[in-house]
Amino acid sequence: MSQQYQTERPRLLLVEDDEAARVSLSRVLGRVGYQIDMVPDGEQAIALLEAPDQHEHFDVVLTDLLLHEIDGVQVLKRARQLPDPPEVVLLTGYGTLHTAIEALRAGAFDYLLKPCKPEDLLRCIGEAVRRRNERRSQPDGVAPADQPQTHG
Amino acid sequence: MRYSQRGQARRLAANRHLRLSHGPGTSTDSFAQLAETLLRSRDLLRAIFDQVHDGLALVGRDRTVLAANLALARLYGTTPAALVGSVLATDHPLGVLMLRALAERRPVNERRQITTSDGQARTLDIQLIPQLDLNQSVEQVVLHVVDTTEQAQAAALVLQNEQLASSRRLAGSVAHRLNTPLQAAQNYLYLLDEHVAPDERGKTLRLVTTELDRMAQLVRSMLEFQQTDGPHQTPISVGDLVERALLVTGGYLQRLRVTITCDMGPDLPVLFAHGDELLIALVNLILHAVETMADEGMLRVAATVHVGDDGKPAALRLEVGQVGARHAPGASGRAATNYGDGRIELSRRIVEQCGGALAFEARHDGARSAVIVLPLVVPLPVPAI
Repeated sequence: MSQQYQTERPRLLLVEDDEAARVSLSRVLGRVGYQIDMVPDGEQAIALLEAPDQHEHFDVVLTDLLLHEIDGVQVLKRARQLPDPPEVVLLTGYGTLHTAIEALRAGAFDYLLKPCKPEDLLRCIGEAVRRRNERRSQPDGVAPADQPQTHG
Repeated sequence: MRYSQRGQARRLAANRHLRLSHGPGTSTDSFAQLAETLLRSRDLLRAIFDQVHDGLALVGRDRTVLAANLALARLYGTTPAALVGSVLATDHPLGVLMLRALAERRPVNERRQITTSDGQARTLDIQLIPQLDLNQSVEQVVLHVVDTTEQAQAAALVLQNEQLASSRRLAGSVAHRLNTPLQAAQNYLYLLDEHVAPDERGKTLRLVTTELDRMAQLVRSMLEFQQTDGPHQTPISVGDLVERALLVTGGYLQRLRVTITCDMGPDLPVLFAHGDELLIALVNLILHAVETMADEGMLRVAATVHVGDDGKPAALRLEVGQVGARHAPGASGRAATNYGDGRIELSRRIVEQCGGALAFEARHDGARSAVIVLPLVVPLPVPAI
């Protein structure tokens, strides 16, 4: 596993409770070269993000908003507390402006409405990775202000 | 003390009644005082009787009205005096109920719809309570009428809202269940498309993708419908509504080479309705019409204003249907299904929530059209009688 972290390929954490959706999303993202770690719930996502040897290696977290115990917004909030937080993209079937605003206020990079087109997904994740890289390249770790846009 | 001619007659009648009750030997002065007291008591009772909000009457066993209060008289557009002495006809609902009360010698109840003299529909809860003598024979019957129109309307509204909330929950549940496989299917199609040469297979895949896009749009519409807080009526242009519905379904209709005929009447008014929900209803009806239509069929959307008896616009009539009864047996996958029935039911509830009605009418050319009739006047609460 440790060899994976040394590559240049962006690393994604995919949090989705539905197996079919999880696998298909990972295949779409995997085809363009992302490294994917998949978990089916929020607890495992947080455990993976907060593990001392792991958190700094995730570039983007793509999480379903509706999860059983710990939901996507909670995953987002915990991820934002990490020393070098990954960008977080929420994937949800609840296309309400209210939820989108809540997620964006809590620091989400973006918000995708399910079902989203794979092209939109790839574009969104690509932009999230780019912003993550820009943030890393800044001396203080702050990326230029990007205005998030909703895809899907 | 001076009395009017009518008052004098009443006092003499009361006096005579007291003489008969007490027999000879009682002084005239005492009779006069008693008669006066009796009449005062009766007037007081009359005033109380008329203050009661419910309709009340005392009916003899021969069905003759012995006394009636103001509330009951008003319900029937008359005066208490006019009701007293009238006989409840055996073919009148009250007469029928009276016969039942006499036969069963116990209280009988019934809810009735009546139309008042000023043309208002009222819902009445009617109760007839027989008064039995020592021999358990019916002596008189008390008629008690409660106007429950407002309560009935409120109950109907609550029921309607519950039904709508239920359909919202159903729509939400269906949409959420559809979302995940849709996402997976979209992803797999995307992957497949990457590997396929741009020949027949690619073309088919693009068609499937188009269908999936349409399903995704419907899912979003259903979710938005589920998340609507409640009835929120806003002014909407009929032209805009039809245009938006055709815009949503445009791609689908174009792919099936369906021709659209729009017949919008002149001076269409602004509707006061739930715009987004009405859009869903209209989209559903368009899709339903196309489902049973042959490819290259013709869809007609028409809007006209129905003028009331007073010459003013009273209702809007929106018609959606195909032109000509051409149902292709090969219209694969687009035959009427339970899903289609569900859409119709959803549309019906939306239209009813807007105070309108949805019906299906057979046209002269054999085709069947969905017809939405929406009131142009915001219904006001019916004033109490």
